[in-house]
Amino acid sequence: MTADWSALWLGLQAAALSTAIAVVLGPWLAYRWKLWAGVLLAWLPLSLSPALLFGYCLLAADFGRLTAGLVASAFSLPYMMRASAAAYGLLDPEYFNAARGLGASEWRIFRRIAGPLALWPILAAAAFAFASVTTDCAVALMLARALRTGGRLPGAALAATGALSLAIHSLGTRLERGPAEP
Amino acid sequence: MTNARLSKKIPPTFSLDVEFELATGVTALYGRKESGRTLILDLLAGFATPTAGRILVDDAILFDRAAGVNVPARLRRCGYIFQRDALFPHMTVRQNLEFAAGGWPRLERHRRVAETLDRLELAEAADLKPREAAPEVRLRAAAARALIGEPKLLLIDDCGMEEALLAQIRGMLKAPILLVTGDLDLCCTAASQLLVLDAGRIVRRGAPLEVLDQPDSVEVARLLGIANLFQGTVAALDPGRNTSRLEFEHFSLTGPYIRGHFRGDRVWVAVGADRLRIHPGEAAAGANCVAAPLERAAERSRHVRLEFAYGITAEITREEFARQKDNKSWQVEFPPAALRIL
Repeated sequence: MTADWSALWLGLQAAALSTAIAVVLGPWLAYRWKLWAGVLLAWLPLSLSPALLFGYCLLAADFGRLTAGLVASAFSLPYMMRASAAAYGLLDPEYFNAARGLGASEWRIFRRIAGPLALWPILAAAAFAFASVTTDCAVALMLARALRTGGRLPGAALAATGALSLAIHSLGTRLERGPAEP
Repeated sequence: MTNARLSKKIPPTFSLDVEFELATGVTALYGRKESGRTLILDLLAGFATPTAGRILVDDAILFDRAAGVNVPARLRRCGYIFQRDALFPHMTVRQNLEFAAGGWPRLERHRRVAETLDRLELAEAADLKPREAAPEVRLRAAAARALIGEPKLLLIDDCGMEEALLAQIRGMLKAPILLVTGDLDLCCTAASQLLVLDAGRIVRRGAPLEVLDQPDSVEVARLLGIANLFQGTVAALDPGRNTSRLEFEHFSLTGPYIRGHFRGDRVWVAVGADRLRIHPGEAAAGANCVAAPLERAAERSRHVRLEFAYGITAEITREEFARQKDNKSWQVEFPPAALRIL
């Protein structure tokens, strides 16, 4: 019997799409609307766990990688915004004031100061979001299919999903520490 | 013209209420750390918003509460040298300057950066990251970054600014400079005006030497670190001889005639530690000499600080101390011209 890798494959595609959306939008949204990101969206990643989302959607209807990616963004984007806001919070506020005093626009400050200085925590958050969405999407799909067809869970694919998640989390932890000091 | 009237309330208790005018050259803002010194700079730069007031820099209104004007920080053209230089840590010194010169066309930007690096002797450090540079280099780099955009007003926080660098900055910038400092020597040598700030209010202003010489009130004298502050009673007044007799707990002094006071009034007298003269106890007692036992002698970089009984403190040169250190007893002379009645 050949292993069914389609669930993991869909999980990876959904994670790639949702992480890309989160990385492109999250850090800027968090920079521009720190308070909004912090307060209004704080509950989203916690309450809208991707497992819950996928479980509900999969039981309700089948859907493809685009829908999966967009659904996963509901988790990845707020997660990335929170992580970015936290990373900016660790920076010395004088950098931002210095840049403003030198005539820089907010977009330029984000692009040249906030973004580069918070790069490693943002990359780490992207890795965590990617791992989380991959795992939750793939596992939810496997469970949903097993429930529907009454078949067994694909053990090899499940184990591979776990290993992949562990590897990406480990990468995220490394990224969080930033580059080694010379 | 550059002037500011600023009010700012910070709950629960602090309130700032100041008004001052800045002329071209250096104005020193002297005060304790929590007196609102940095807040004034932040309000001028646009990093904080006053509760009320008006800011005029080079005849342009940057803030006017009544008229609803509040020019954003990035358009104010106020250079700012922060307490901790605030150089962008991921950029080299040159890149920091290029960021500040971002508004100029490319060729002009390169010319300005090269010229500023050269004028502030930063050419060798241009490709260093801030963490790789020595503190004095970082300070020069912060100054270069603030100056490159030709600010209309330069704000310098208490960053350990040295006289030589400040002179260089003055040479490069024909605009008012507001310098926050706790260094009175720097105020005297570099500033044309001194503002003494206490708990959000300017309590004394004027030429630095004049302020130091005539502190005006006990609070100002304490702020300026005048070591000898005594509260006494006016025992006699002689307008004919232009003298007065002042009695303190442990000694009495002859001072100048005090206008507006009567016998029996309580007054404060301030005398700078460097204005007192020291004599051996065995010498004939002169006018205004107080015999006082020496309690402690502390050697400083340029002088020796002598702490006598009765709260008297004097500062003498090392050479003078070397001549007198073996005195068995001491007399401290209070020259009448040095007494400031507050």
